[in-house]
Amino acid sequence: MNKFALLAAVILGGISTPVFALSQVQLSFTAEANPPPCHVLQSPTTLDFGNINRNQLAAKTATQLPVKSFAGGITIQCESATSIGLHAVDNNGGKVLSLGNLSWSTPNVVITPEQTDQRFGLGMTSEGKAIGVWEVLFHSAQVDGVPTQIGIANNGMLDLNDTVPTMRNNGKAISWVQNSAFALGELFTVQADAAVALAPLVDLPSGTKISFAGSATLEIVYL
Amino acid sequence: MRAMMRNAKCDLLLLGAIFLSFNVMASDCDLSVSQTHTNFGTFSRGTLSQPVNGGQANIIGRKTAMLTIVCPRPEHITLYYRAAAGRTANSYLLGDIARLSLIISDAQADGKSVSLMYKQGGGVASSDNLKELPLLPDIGVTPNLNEPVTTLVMQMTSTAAVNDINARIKDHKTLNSNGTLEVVSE
Repeated sequence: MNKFALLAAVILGGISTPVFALSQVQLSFTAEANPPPCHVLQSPTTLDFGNINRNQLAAKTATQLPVKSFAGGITIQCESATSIGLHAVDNNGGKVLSLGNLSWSTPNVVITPEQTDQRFGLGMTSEGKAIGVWEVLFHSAQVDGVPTQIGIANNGMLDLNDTVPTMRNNGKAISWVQNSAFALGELFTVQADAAVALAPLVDLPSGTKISFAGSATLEIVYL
Repeated sequence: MRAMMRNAKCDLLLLGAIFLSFNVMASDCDLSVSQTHTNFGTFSRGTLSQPVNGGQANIIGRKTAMLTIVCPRPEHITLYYRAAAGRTANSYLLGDIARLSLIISDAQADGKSVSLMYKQGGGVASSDNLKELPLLPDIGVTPNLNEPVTTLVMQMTSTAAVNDINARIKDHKTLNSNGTLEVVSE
């Protein structure tokens, strides 16, 4: 093809096909997603185990006190349907008694000394020994009035291999579960029973009154 | 002498080619949008719309913008939207839990109300002939007119909706979607 033919082809090509022109504008869209606010309507009250005489305590083994229930349990109201859990932090983050089981009869649950993620502290004696251990068992859970199971959330995922409905100190959260998934709802209720065990008499100072207290901070987490 | 004549014709054609390409440059239409950034605000599950009479549910928000296309001379105008990220058959992804739909309506060509129709690659127009049309991925929207127009004004309604009401919103998150609105004139 000579120069003339090439040029003619270019020009004819330009004429025979549609001529397109472009004009462009960049668009952007954003939205901010937030979980719905949840409010604690009923929180666990203080449980008073009263004065405990030394003659109530075993000399060389831990002694569990009678289980006590938190009156009214816990009620959380969310402004729209969501899934939540409760994450606990031991406010007595010190030494925890490593002797003796903690047990509940209904439901039947036993926490052994090896289950350190489910044992909370009651402070230490002046000699640096743990005074005791406590733990809370959750039961009778409901979401929007419908009974649910209690499950354990591990890093935001339901841990199907961990079904013990107790408070955790290792970052796991207890949660309301339906059909093997976190329950969705607005009104969450659960009952809570506390078990306390005290150190053997030989590990506690003699002759003086010992005051002890345990507490944990519960935080709502969205699941 | 014959050789000189051929050179003169060649130069004339070269000028013609330059002239034609100048015309192509001059045919650009100007597209302006009243709002290039749309913020649907903050939402949670509780603020999403509920389905009413079979209408769309889980809507985060709805915003409108005006599109104005002005051409220096009458042209056949087609509007496209090219999403930068993901899309579905009739909407565009807004973050990982929501979608965005764009509706073109209230078109006025040179001051006269006109209906709209789709136009796909190759210049084949579909049979849709409506006052409003969703702006679908890679499918153009054009006025249903035979004659070219100089000015085309349209309304674009953008609607953001959550894909699944049960989507887990554990923490605050920002949902983004970007794309290019494109005018093709011929």
